[in-house]
Amino acid sequence: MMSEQAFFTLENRDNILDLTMNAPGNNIMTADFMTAFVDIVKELHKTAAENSNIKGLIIHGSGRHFSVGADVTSLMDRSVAELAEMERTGNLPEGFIVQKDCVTSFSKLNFPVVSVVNGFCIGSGSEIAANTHFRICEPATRAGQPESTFGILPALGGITRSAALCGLAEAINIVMSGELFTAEHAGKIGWADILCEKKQGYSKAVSLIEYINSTGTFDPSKRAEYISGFLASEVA
Amino acid sequence: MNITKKNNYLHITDIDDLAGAVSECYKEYDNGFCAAVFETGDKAVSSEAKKLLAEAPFITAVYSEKLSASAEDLLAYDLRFSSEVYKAGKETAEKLMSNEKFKILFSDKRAYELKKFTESGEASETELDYFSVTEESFDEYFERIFKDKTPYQIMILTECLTSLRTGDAEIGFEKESENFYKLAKVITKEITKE
Repeated sequence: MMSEQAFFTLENRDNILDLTMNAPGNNIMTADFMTAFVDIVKELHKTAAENSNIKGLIIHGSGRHFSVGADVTSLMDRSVAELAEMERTGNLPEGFIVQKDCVTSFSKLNFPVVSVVNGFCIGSGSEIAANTHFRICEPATRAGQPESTFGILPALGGITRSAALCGLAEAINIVMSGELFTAEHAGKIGWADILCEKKQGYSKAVSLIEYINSTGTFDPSKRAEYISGFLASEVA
Repeated sequence: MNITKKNNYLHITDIDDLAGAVSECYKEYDNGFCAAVFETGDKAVSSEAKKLLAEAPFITAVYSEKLSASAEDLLAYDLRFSSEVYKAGKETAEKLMSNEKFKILFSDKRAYELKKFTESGEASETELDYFSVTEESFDEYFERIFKDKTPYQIMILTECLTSLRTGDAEIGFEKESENFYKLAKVITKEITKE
């Protein structure tokens, strides 16, 4: 075990990093969760910088769900304090910037980052997954950005990444409607890269990372090519 | 030209001059209309109209029973509504797959799928079921996505979405952050009143 924070473990398994979310309430993203998240992501980047042999990173929930997203009550409490800070400084709150930088940092790593999604993967939880290079969805996946139904919007990259993964036309639907979608629909709209059977997501993620590494230096712009090649290699 | 005002969106028919029609919709944006559906038939989209559509503060859409306008013209809109699924032959597919607007509207993944289609010796035509909305009318679509949202919220979300027309992720990230707090201000004021 490399590192264990309150709600996370980070392990190195033959140079594939495993970031497990293990918070109560199906990884509900409370203020404490986000504090631990920032710490573990800093740890992750330090590890990545110190070890050039890292082949990839897998992010997943330890239980039945990836994450049910932000605790809306504590989010609104935090927002009251942050709005006061914004009034004083005229800038976005520092705490928010740090959290957003952490969530959006996954797609900037120079090795493949794969989210293994099962159960609920919604709101800020969905934003974590959307900010990784690849998403492998198990059958019970229910993902989406329902923030608009609460009167707010996805601020941790959910709008931008929905557009990057599914196209702007589909992002309009995802973000404005706030509707959740199944694994099958995620595959249809391009949010999910691979669909798999129950409890097969993790091993599939390992195989995908190994495949990508076998093709040479990781190039995120070749995302579609990697998935196509990997799926073809599985059939062969 | 005929503009019908609906809940938060406009439906424009009998269009002689598309650029003129889009300009009229710019004025209506100040009255809280965050989307506009243009029924243009298969008329070409002028450069002036393309520029106005690209910079429109509202979501832009085209409706035609069968999308017979050129692919490039159809990509000038954020959304397309039609009764039939759009089909592309190899020549159209080749144009689409290397079109930056196509990638922004539908993703790099779809562009790669088209590339594979053009390289395959199989069918001469492929169906792009994602190219337009066919399962519901534009009335049903906008009623569904705007449901239970205030005009202000729709406008704030629309700003975020339209900021992504250039495909610049940094602009998108910035707009999300800024606009989250605009909505948070409203919500927290409402909570404080309760």
